[in-house]
Amino acid sequence: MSQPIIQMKNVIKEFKIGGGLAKEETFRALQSVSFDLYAGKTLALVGESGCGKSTCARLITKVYPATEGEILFNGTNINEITSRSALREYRSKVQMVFQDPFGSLNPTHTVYHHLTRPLKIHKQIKSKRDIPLRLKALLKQVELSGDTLHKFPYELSGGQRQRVNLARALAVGSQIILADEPTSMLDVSIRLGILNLMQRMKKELGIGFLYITHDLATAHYIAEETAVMYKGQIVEWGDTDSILKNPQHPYTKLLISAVPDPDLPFGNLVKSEPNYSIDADEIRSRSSIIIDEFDQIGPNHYVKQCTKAA
Amino acid sequence: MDGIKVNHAYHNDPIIQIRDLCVDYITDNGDFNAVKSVSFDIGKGEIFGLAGESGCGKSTIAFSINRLHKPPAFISGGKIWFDGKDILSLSDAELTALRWSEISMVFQSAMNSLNPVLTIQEQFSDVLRHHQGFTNDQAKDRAEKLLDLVNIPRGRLTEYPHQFSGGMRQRLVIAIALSLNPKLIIMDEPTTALDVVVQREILQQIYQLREEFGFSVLFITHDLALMSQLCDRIAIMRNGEIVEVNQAYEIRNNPQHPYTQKLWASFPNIHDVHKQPDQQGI
Repeated sequence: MSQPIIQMKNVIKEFKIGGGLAKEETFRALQSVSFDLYAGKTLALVGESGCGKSTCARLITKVYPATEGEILFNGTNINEITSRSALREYRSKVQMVFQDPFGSLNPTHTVYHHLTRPLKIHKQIKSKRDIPLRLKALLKQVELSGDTLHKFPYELSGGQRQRVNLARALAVGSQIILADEPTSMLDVSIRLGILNLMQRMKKELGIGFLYITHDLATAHYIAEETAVMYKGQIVEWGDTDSILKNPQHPYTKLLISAVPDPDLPFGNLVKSEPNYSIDADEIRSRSSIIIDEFDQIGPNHYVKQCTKAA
Repeated sequence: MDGIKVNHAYHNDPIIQIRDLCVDYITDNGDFNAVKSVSFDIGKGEIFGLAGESGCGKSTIAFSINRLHKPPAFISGGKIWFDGKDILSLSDAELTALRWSEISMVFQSAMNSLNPVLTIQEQFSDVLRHHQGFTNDQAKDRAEKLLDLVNIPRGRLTEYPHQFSGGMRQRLVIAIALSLNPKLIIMDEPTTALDVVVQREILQQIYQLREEFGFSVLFITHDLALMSQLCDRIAIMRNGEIVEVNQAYEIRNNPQHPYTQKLWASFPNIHDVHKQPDQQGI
């Protein structure tokens, strides 16, 4: 397999909470997290809210530094990227797409502005004359019509806005896109369009994705590899198919069971699993124990050992 | 297509009957018809689902049912019969008495609909005092029983909303919605902001509470899979009109309208992996 573009190696992130007049405490958001991102592949990071998924993305984009462990970009530690030009270079290669398509575009500017700025700032064009051509190509890549260019964000639907955000990431020539719940605020009927677009960007442009989500169904649709995360710890990782077909960790099983299955009415569920909440709480408390040992289940399928006793 | 609608939109023992409801929004460019002559019944003890994409008018219906729609929206036609009463002709005082005691609502951002500066107990007693004239002690007693229903420890009654997680806050709102034994609860995307495990926990609880108390639910979401799990009957809406109504099982296994079929095709189902392990080629 080729060289990974981004490597997370045993990354730990601690936050200070409190301070001031209150007692200061440290909160460990990531417990020794490791994963690799490759060109033309998608890794889905799945877990409930507050488990540390977004923290991973923020560490990679250098929003804040890791407490321990290292993050490598093409072999170099990203902590060493400090000069202005190197930072700009790094940021043009690693881009982020956020959950809220309404909040991530400036309401007072047109799409033209949103797409021209990254081109200028990151010096993607030789002269101003190239701009119209580049913009046209970008819009075509994200399947938007040419007249979108002069529209304001409020004139676009959520799905169209998310396409503008993806175009913005493409404009600077990124190799890795960190997509933080890019479809969770969109309608089910629009979601698939965005996912297909990401799929195409991956195949045709060789872009690597980190797809952060709590929705296993879309993860299965787009990602070759999945890492299931709970309380800052990756509990199971490997091929998406293998994980879905043969989940080992109780938390993964819990997540899969919670995805709505249209063929299984609640009438049957309340009979077969009457104490769902209690069972879920037990699995949660068991899964929050930090364990270093893991087992290999398949060729590319690993699981953290989980003790039976709570 | 009309034949299908007529057969399945109505119920023999309805709690609420909606007939030819039209809701318009007044704009500078003339009226916008958000809901175009929609008719359906919700039976006693039934969970009725209303599905469709954003902007199709499903929330507008939810608000108009107890006349909570705000201008520029107005009801331009139709009738809403709730338990024999004509909602649209009730006086304001009668309507105030009816809201929450007979029809309560749980919103999408329900976790933000709690007052952040009052304790949970205070918010329970507000409802109970206002509608039933309970004293504080009586209200506390009732609130504790309601917390038991949604599996939240009684001792947390004196805490403030920010001390609870999103899922717990949503359950608190459901408990408050249940506090007056309403006949109908309107749930507008009650779990969209929560993650899947919590969603499952809450819906299972709603289902079990419904079996215990026999209230009816109008359940609104855009997640068809979830809807066909929870609901007895489902109506699919598009551009302010109901395009198909049927039993949940039929909507799942035998969708008639092309739009319903498209909605089903628009999201991946991971449970297929388990059902056809050999056909998976990836």
